[in-house]
Amino acid sequence: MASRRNFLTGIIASSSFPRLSWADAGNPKFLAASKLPNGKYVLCGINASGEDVFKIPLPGRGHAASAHPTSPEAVAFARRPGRFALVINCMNGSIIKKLTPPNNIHFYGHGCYVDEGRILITSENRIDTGEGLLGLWDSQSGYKRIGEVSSGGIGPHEIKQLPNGKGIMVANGGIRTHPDHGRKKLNLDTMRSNISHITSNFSLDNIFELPKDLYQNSIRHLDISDSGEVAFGTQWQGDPSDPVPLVGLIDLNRKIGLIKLSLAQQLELKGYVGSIAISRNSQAISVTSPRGGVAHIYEDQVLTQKIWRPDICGTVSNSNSFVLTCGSGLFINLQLNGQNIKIKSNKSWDNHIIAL
Amino acid sequence: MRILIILFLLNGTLATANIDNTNEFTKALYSNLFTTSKLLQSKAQKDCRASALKHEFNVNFDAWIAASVIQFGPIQKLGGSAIFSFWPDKKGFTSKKIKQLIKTQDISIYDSKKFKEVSVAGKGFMALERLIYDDNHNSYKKNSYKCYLVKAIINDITINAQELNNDWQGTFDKELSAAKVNAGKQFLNQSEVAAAYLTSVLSGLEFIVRYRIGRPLGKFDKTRPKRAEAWRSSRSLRNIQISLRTLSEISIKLSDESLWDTKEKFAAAIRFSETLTNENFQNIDEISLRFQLQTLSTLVSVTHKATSIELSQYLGVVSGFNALDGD
Repeated sequence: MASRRNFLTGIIASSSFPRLSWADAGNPKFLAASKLPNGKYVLCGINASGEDVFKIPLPGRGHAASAHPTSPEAVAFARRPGRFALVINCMNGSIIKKLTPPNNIHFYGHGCYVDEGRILITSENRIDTGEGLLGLWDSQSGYKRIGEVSSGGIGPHEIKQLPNGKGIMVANGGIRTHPDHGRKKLNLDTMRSNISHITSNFSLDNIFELPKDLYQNSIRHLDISDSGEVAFGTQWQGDPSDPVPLVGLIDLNRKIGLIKLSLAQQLELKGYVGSIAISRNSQAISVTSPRGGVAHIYEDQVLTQKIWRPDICGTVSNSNSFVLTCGSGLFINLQLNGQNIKIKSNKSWDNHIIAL
Repeated sequence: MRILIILFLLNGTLATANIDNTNEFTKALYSNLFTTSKLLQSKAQKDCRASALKHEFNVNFDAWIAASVIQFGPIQKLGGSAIFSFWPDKKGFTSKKIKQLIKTQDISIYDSKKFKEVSVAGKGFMALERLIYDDNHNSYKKNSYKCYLVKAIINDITINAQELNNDWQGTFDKELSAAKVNAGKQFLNQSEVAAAYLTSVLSGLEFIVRYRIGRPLGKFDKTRPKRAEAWRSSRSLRNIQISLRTLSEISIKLSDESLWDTKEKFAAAIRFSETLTNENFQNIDEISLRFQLQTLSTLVSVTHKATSIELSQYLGVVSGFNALDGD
């Protein structure tokens, strides 16, 4: 927990951040949470070769991180249902701010900076009604909470920004939970997941849903290319032996579709996509299934490469290719020609990795 | 119980000899799968009719059920277990695919490369069982379309079995050797190979409880006999027994017979399964059979628990960091 001194130092440091950049924090290319062999949890800044440029202690297991687009500060989210998120000064590891949502609200594990880093958006759940929320925090006034808006669904999880100031896309998983029951899913028979488009004015513009027979397909993760194509991955809440499509796209005409796979290919993912990334040029998609121990790489919506690795989960676009991380400590710099570069470490990479 | 558990290693000290022995056991499983496939293929070349194929079909299916407990390595590269056995099949894909192939007289059955592209629902042992045992299909004559379809499925099984066998004896064997000196591609080291075996054992036990027993048991007020695995060929119980025996052998070899609790729990489940007499679970409405299956389910669950504790500790493994996080 942050001491008062740390907290004040953080506030002072925060006010001077416009002059600082990620170069001052060792110029990491990626951020990911991990667990060290001694059982401690850290947030790692990682260079292009997969080596740590910094390791910042976390008080517990993280889920995902969000990075300020210019200043060397990151938000580490606790696993859902989390009651806190930490804004961290990545130059010295100090806690700039511990974000706590209002009473009756908890975090859902992801966040996203918009408006050139001025506003942090967090995915949240209103506990008594189960309404999905987006919490809004002003990074320029010490992360003061400035309000919340509807996420357009239940159980918002990953949030990503669209290019050219066109707002954000939110993966609303559709599953209602209550902190009194941990992660117990309370509405599996009636759930309905969607991706919502929220404008830069924070108003709901559109909702994209899958066909009704896939109502138990929970859209949890998404990524957006430079042109604005949205790739998404789902987690099937029905029988795990059902072969169902788990990967889809919202194209530039704003039409939602699912990538077609054979029954056998669908079964490989074991009904569970852990992370998804789309290349900057929209041509390739990387999908991980830690339960299947496999990553699928699609090029122009055709499955072209599989990477079999135990506990593979994190993935992020790296220009027009991808980086993948595993619970076993492997960091894979993927090449679309199949000549992948693997860097082994003794830590366990957590669910997600993000790019700066 | 969770269906899939992925594991990774912490600080386990592994007996290389145990892994080597387990690898040899696995290679024998795949060798037997290929050998019995060739026997079935040879029989089908002489006489493709259903009545002529039942013995070799069952011998080959036995070999597959044993080999199917290994869920890593060449079988992943080939496309997964569904290529040999697409089950469970809640939506009836196999029935639909076979009907479609027959109705359209699909010519892909005459070319093994084209048949390789056919959906898993229309190939493997479950599709073959349908053609050989289902009264709506099994009276086909020599040189009929169904006869050639049966031959195509058997041929596909043999080609795939040969590929798996070659891989286990060749390329993948080298991969396992490389893992011994921390230079593997899929498995970085020997510990990860051990973890893959452990995952296979635990997943195999879960599969028995959740699907092979759980599906026909259904709900208390509604049993589902037609959801039993391979009930048409009366193999529902047999598949459980073969699977249990193979999983037991693997766990014994991995631990050099040193895990008494695991060994005893496996033995109790196998012994009890051998006392059951209903082979295809079609009388599951009878309280006595229902009770027996529930008991078997409990015994397999208890075996799973013992294995997940003892064998995990023996090998020095813990549950998957991300696979079990569920978010």
